[in-house]
Amino acid sequence: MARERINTYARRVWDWIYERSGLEHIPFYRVPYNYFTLDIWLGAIVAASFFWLAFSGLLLIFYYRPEQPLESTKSILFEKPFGALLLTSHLYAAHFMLIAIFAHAFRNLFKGVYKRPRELVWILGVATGFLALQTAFFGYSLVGDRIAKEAINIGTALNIRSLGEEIGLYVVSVLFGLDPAETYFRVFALHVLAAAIVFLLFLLHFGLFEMHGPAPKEEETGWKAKPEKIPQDRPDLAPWFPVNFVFITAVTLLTWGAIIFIAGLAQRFADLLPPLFKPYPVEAEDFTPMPPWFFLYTYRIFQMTFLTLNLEDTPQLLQFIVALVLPPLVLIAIPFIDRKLSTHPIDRPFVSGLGIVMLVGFTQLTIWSLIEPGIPVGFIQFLTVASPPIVTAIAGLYLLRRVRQGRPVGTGELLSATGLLVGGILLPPLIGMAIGVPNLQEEFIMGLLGFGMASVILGWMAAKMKVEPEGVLERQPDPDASIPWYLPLIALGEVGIAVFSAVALIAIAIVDPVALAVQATVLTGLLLLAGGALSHAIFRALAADWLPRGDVLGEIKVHLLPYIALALTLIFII
Amino acid sequence: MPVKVRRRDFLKMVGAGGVAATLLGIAPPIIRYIVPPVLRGEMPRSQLVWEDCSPVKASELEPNTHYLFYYPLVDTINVVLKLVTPSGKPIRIPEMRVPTQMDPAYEPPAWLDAELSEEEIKRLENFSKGSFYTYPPGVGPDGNIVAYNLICQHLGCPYPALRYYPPGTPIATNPPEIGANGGVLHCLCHGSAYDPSRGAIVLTPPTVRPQPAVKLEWDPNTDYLYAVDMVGPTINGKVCNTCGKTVGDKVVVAVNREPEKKTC
Repeated sequence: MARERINTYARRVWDWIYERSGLEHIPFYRVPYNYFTLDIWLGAIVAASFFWLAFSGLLLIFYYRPEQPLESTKSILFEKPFGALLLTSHLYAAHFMLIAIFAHAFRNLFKGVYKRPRELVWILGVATGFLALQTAFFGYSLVGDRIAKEAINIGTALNIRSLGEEIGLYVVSVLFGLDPAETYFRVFALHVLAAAIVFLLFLLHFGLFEMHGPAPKEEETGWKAKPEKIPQDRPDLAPWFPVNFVFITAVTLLTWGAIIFIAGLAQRFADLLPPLFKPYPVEAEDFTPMPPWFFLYTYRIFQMTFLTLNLEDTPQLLQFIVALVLPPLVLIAIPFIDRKLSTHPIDRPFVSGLGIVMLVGFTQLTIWSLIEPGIPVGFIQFLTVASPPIVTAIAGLYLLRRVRQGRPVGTGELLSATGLLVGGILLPPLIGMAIGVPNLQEEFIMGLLGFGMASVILGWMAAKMKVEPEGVLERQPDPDASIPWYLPLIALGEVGIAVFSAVALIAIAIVDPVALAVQATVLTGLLLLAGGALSHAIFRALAADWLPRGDVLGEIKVHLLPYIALALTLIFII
Repeated sequence: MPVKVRRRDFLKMVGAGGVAATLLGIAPPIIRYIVPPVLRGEMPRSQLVWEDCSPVKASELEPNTHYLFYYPLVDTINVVLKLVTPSGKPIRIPEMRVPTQMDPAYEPPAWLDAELSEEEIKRLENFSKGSFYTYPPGVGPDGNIVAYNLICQHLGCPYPALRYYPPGTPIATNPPEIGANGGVLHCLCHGSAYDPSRGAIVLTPPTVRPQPAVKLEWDPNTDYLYAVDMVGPTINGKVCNTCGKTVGDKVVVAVNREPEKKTC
C-alpha cells in the first residue's frame, strides 16, 4: 500500500515536471534508434569537451593572475585543492577537443554531408574550428613558462615578417600588446573573448544543424544527398527526451571522464611525457622550443625557403598565407566546388583527394617538425614528403573510380597507376641525390608515412564502395530479450565503481586534496566514466523496443571504458 | 526614364541601409579600444646599475660572465661581456663594418687586429645582401667590454636559449663554429651561432642577420658604464627598437640571470 502511494506520488511529480517543462515538445531534430553511433555524434564529443573547457576555465579564473602568470599557474597546480584536476584537465580537454574537431571535420568531408542544405553548417563549423585553434594558442601562452614566452616571441616575429612593419605592428599590438607588463592581461582577455566567440559560433552551428538534423545514413540513401533530411514521420524515430537526452548525457560524461582520467594519468607519468604534452609548466633550459602540436604544421611551412619572397618588408607573406589563410578558405569553398548528388568519396575525386592531402599533409608536417625542428625546407625536401600522398591519392582515386563506374581495369591502367606511384615516391629523393641534396632520409620516411596514411584512407573508401542497404527499423517483439543477460551485471559493477570513486573522492577532499592530486584526478575521471557508461545503459534500455540484440563486443564496448580505467587505476595509482 | 519606386520598398531599403550603417558604426570604437596607443619612444640613455642601485664600474666586471640588462625596451634583454682570450688576456675590440644581412656561406674575416683591407671589404660586400653598419669599438680600460641583444635574430628565442659560451665550454646541440676569441653566442632553439668578438656576425646558419649590439659609453673618470644606442638590425620581434615601453635613465644589471624588473 505504502509503496503504491509513493509510486503515484512520484509519478505525479514527474508528470508535473514533464508537462510544465514542455519536454514533450522539444524542437530538436529526432533521429531513428539506429543513428546513435560514434561517427554521427563526433560533434557531440567536441561540444562536450568545449563545455568542460568552459566550466574548468571559468573556475581557473579564481586563482589565475596575469601579473604573475607562471607563479599563479604553479600555485593552482601545486597549492590549491583540486587545482591540478582543473588545470591539467583543462589542458587535456583542449588537446582532446582539437583532435575531436579534426575527426569531426574530416569524417564529414569524406562522407560528403556538407551538401545542400548543410553548406552553412559546414562553413560555420570551419570558422568555429579555426577560432578554436586560435583560442588554444592564447590558452597555452597564458602559462608564462618557456613554451609560452617563446610562443609570444615567435608569434611576434612571424607576424612582422609576414605582414610587414606597419600592419604587423597593429596585429602584434592587438595580440600581445606593446607593454610587456600588459601582455598576459591581453592574452588572458583574448583567450576568454575568443572562447566566448567560439561559443556563439557553436550555438549558430548547432542551431543550423538542428534545422536539418544529421544527414541520412549512406546505408539508407545509397551514398546520395537525397533525401536531404531524415523524414520526421518515420515510425522508428526516438523521442528527443528521454532517448536522445540520455545518449547525449552518456557522450558528455564519457568525454569528460576520458579527459580527466587521461589528465590524471599524465600527472602520474609526467616525467615520461615530451615537453609539449607535459601537464606542468616547462622551465627546462635545454629544450628546443616548439609550437603546440596543432600549430606544428605551420613550423615546417614557415621554414620552406622556396616560398620566401624577395621582399624587404614581408619576406614570409607567402608562408603565412599557405599556413594560416589558405586552409580555412579551401575548406569553406568545398561545398561550392562539389555540387554532385552523390556523396561517395570516390564519386567526388577532387574533394576526396583534397581531403586526403590536407589530412595526411597535416600529419606529415606535424611529425616532420617534431623530428627535424628548425631545419630549412628546400623544394626537393618538400617534394620528397608531399609527392607520395599526392600521387597515391591520384592513382588510387583513378583506379577506384574505374571500378566504381564498372569500367574495366586492365594492365594498362594498373601499370600507369603503379608507374605514377613509384615515380612519385622515388623520383624526388633520386633527383635530390643526383643534384647532391644531403640527408633526405627523414623526408623519405615522412613520404612513406604519407603513402601509408593515404592508402589507409583509400582502403576505407574502397571498403565503403558497396554498403548493406538499411531501411526503417522494426519494433522488437520481445524488448527484454534484446538486452543481453550480462548487461545488468556490468551496470551493477559500474554502480560499484561509481560509489567507490565517489567515497574515495570525499575522503580525499577531507584529508588532503593537494598531496593526493593525482588520485583525485584519476578518481574523478573514473567516476564520470562509470556515470557515462551507466547513462548509456539507460539509453540501451530505452532503445530495447527498436534495437535488436547485437554481438557481445557491440553491446559492451562502451562499458569497457570504466573497467579499463578501473584496472589502470588499481595497477598504477593505488 | 523615371524609375518609380514604391514607398514601401523605399522605406525598406532606407531602413536596411541605416541598420547596416548603425552596426558598422560600432566597429571603430571597438577596434580603437583594442589597439593600444602605439608607442614609438625616444632612444633612452641609461646608466648601468646593480640591483642595489649602486653604479656598475667597468673595472669590476669579470670576464666570461653574463651581465644581463633590459634595454632599450623593458622586455628586450641584452648582455654585457668582457672578452678575453682562452689564456685570459683582454682583447681590444676595434670599430668594425658589419653587413646587416649575409649569405650563410660567407667566411668571416680572419681576425680583427687591424682595419679591414680593401680586398677583405670587397669580399664582404660580395657576400652581404644589404648595407653595412658601423659596429662600435669595445669600451672599458682594456677596450674589451661589448654588449649584445640576446633575442635571437633567427626566430626570436631569448636568453637563456641564446647565450654566451666562453672559450672551451661544450655545447649540447649542433656544435657551431667557434668565434675569434674561442667563445660563441649560440642559440639552443635552432643552432644559430654568432661571434661575440666580431660584432656578432653570423657563424652558423639558419640565421642570416647578426645580433644587434648595444652601443656603450664608458666614463674614464668615474669608471661608470652607459647604454646609449642600438646598432645593427632591429631587435627581433620588435617593429622598431623603441616600439614599446622604454627603460628609464638607469637599468638594472644582474649576473648570470634575468634582472629583477625594478627601477632605481
